[in-house]
Amino acid sequence: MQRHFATRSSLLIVATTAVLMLTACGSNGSTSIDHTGAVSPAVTDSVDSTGVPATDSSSTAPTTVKASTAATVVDPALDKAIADVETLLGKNDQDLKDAAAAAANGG
Amino acid sequence: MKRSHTFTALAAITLAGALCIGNTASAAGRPAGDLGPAKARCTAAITERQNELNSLSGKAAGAAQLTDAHESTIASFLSSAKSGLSELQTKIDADTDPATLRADCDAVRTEFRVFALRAPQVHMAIAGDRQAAGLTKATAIAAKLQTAIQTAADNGTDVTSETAKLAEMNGLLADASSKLGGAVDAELSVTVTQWNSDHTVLSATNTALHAAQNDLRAALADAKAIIAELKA
Repeated sequence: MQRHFATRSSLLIVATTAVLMLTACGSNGSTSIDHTGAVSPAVTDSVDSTGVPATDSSSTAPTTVKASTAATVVDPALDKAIADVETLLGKNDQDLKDAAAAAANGG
Repeated sequence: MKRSHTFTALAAITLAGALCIGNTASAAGRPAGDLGPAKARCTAAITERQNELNSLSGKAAGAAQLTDAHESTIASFLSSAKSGLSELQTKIDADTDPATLRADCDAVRTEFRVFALRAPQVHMAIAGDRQAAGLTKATAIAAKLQTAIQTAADNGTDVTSETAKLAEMNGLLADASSKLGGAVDAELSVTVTQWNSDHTVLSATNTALHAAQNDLRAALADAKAIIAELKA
């Protein structure tokens, strides 16, 4: 009975300690490792006395780390639009050649 | 025997007379015979130009990107050339003096400049207006790429390379726009008289159109590269 009580007490202490550690970690901010494996700076957003969140005071430049999410979705119509312009330019090549040929013909 | 001699003498006189008449007719017809080949060459030159004018009219009418104003200008000078050449053909047909015929035949080239001026003008107008249409489309592409790049940046993607390429693309489009500005209007306003006194009068437009063409191609290459990077 006494032994059983000691075991339950130990588990309670361990659990309480763990909760306190996690709470402390979350409230103060800390260096963390994101899912890309890159180290990100500590977040220092804070709330000032007026209750308005202050701006991000992180000293690092905007992120330069490629996101691991799926590639940016690009409007498929862009590929067709580019192809259309290329077609126009192709026709222009012929007209510019025709202009030169006619001029060379003279008269 | 005496009758025989008389008959022979009469036959000789008749033959001589016939030959004389034939020679006289031939001499009288020589000028017309000499002008004939020259007239045929002039007529062929006119026909060749009329065919070219018809071909140019068809091209202009079928050019989807040609503006109404430019199409109207082209139709006007092509029509004027057609009627002018028709009048010249009538005059050439009636020419009897070699010097006049020579001058009229020269006018087929110098008064109309169908190949040296009108054809290049039409081709360059079509090309320039088509480039303007391409420029509009490419500018819209650049705007969409700007949005896509911003979206990627918002998602935390490094868009340094894409942003630089888009800036280059926009610079190329601005350069193309600058080169195309007023180029077609300028080249369509060139007259036969101006071309006759300066055969390089279309060169500036020709150079501008080639440069704009290169700008647009380079801009499209940037657009493709940006899309490839965004999709990577």
